[in-house]
Amino acid sequence: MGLLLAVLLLAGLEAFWRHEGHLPSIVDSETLWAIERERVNGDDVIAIVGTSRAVTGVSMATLRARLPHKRPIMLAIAGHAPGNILRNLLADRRFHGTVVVEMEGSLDGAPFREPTAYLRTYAEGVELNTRANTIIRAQMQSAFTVLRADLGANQVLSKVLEDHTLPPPAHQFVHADRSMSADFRNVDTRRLLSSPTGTIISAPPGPQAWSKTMASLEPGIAALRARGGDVAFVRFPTTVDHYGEEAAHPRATHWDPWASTTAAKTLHYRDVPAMADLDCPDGSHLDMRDAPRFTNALVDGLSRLGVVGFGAPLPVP
Amino acid sequence: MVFDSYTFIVFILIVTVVHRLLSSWSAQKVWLLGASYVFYAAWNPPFVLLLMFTTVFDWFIARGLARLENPRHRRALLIVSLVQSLGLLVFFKYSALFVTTLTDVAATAGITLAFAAPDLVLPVGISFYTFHTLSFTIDVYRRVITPGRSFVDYALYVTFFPSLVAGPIVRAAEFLPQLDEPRRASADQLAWGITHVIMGLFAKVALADALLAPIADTVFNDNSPVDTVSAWMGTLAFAGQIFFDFAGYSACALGSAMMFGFTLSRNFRFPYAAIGFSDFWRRWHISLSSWLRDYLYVSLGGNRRGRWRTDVNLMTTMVLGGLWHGASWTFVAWGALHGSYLIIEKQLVGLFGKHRWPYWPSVRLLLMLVTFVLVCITWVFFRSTSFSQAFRIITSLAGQAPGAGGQVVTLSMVVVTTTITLLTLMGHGWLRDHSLEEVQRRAPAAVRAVVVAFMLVAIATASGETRAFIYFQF
Repeated sequence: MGLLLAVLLLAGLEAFWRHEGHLPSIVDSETLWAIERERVNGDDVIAIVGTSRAVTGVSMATLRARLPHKRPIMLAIAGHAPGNILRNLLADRRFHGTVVVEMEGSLDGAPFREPTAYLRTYAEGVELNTRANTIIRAQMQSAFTVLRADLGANQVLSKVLEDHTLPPPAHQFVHADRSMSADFRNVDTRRLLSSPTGTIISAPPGPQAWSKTMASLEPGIAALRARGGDVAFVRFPTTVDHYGEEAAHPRATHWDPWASTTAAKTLHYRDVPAMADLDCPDGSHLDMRDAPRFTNALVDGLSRLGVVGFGAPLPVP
Repeated sequence: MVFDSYTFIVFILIVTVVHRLLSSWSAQKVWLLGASYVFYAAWNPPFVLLLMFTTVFDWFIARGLARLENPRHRRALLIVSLVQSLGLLVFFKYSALFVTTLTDVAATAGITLAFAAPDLVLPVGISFYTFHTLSFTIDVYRRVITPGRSFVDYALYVTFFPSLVAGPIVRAAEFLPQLDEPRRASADQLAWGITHVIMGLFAKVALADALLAPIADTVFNDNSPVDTVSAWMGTLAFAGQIFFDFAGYSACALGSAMMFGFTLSRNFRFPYAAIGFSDFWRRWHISLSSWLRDYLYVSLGGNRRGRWRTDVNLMTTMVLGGLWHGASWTFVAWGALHGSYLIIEKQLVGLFGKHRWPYWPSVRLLLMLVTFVLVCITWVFFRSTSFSQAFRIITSLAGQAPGAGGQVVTLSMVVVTTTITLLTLMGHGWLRDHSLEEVQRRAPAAVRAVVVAFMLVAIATASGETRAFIYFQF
């Protein structure tokens, strides 16, 4: 009887939170990332590497629909620099797929944290029991709103006691494949635009130092291409330079000179009309309704560039 | 594998169903033994070999002890068992502490030592299963029990998964007789066992992890001086966290065992209602305190060699008990504090025990609260990662918080901590001379259903972050 009552209560709570506008969201973790990282062995993989812009901007459903014979895997980590993850993939001889790297300024350092803990968890290996538990938990959390971390008793109590209100629906929710949807419909974007989180770049490397870092990737890029894979660097859309990335890495002195010399493919959103007019409501991330359009334009753009693994572009209507 | 995981739910369902389908008692025991090894291997498969080695080694030692008559030979064999079990424990658990301490001491003398502390993986549960095998060989040596003829029975005693990795520490004399006759959980036992598991998960997941751990972490993970209110909230939160975490695990262990018809001894008996520290140690981690009493304190001479020697034996037992918890001098300090409390208490009982006023209800209540506060002070050393941190917190508890900034705990943290602390003290005080079995027998079915439902909802909706059982690391 207790179990039946619990099921009824949970169903009621699930209905209540959904009525309030909340949606399921998983708790991402180093373990989940490591499990996804282990899946990239094979030549049918498209590995997405980058920051929260990649996590929110790439619609994995659109990618899977456009590339049905490929396995897109989200390795981007919100708030973390992609450089060492890219290096880890380039050095992995078992990886034969294509890496799509979201890059705004630098691959390492500010305004992002290093993904050291994620890479360490991957290197140590995930044992079977932890793997099974993490996967089951992610599936459960992606189905049920009551399992959201921000709707736990502590969080709700804290909000009620301090702000005299229930937690408002979060505008971001993470899926079981680690991608994230950002719904800015009911968000005060003016507040987000005026008070970004993160570290402003204070001591950016100059063009020469930056070029040297990018040049150091060339042997790895060549090795991956020799194995049948490919690398594509993509500048995702932004509308506000919150952290000074654009100011610290002007296109004319950084991206453009490097793009003309690298063996990797490069795609800048400003060069693609379908991407250039997209808005980032908080200055930095695409809304979930624009993610499919962006992803279609991404696939078309990378296909036109001949990036390995990307099919033919959609016919122009 | 841990109790608060989806994989454990799947595991225990499969183990229970197959166990009940098997008709032969021998087959059921073999099945439980295999399942226990799978349970342990889920953490780190190669260390199953270490567990098997310890099990087999002490099996042959015990058979030798049972056969031999010569006292010197028997003592030598016992020493071999002690060296093997404690040697493994010391090697895996304390080598790094030994090297670090030696290096630090040498450095103060101006000597630089070149070797680094070994980076060893501590096998989960080693502190518990070595105590299982040690109690077996010591009891055989003392002729309290015989080793029996069945290796499967003995191996199941050592590795029985409910108590394998974090206790309770089971005595062979209590468990082996339960393996002699077929056992099957009745419907009531199965239901009460499942209820115990739910209660344990509620305590661990909903109370310890979701509500109390974040508060304790806020205070203890901050290396800067904290204000007095925050110091008290952090300390009380940790006092609650460690109780609900460990008592929760023990409840899951007892419940899981019950589901197969086995009875494990209670490990907690409302410890925060303790009046005095002897009472506290009859209520907290009962299996460890009784193990240390029977195999260490008594072996050292107990209270049979005069007052001074009794105090030394008591302090030695408590210090080693502290060290058992972890390879850190702060755990030793925790044990030493409890040893000091026990010694002082003995003196006070000697002075005032014959008077009537210590037994007045109001005085007993005051003594209960004083005991609780003094236990909380020991928890500061248990939780702190260094003596400097511990002394900073203790100083703040006393109202001296030089250099402290604003209050680090929020209003909701204060409300949560004080509410849970008050409810826990009231609950323990009300139940101190009773048992949960009595309470559940008297409660109407509807009330029991509502309580179970509430606990299940709280477990399911606890925040997404999971934390290891605190005693897993011991």
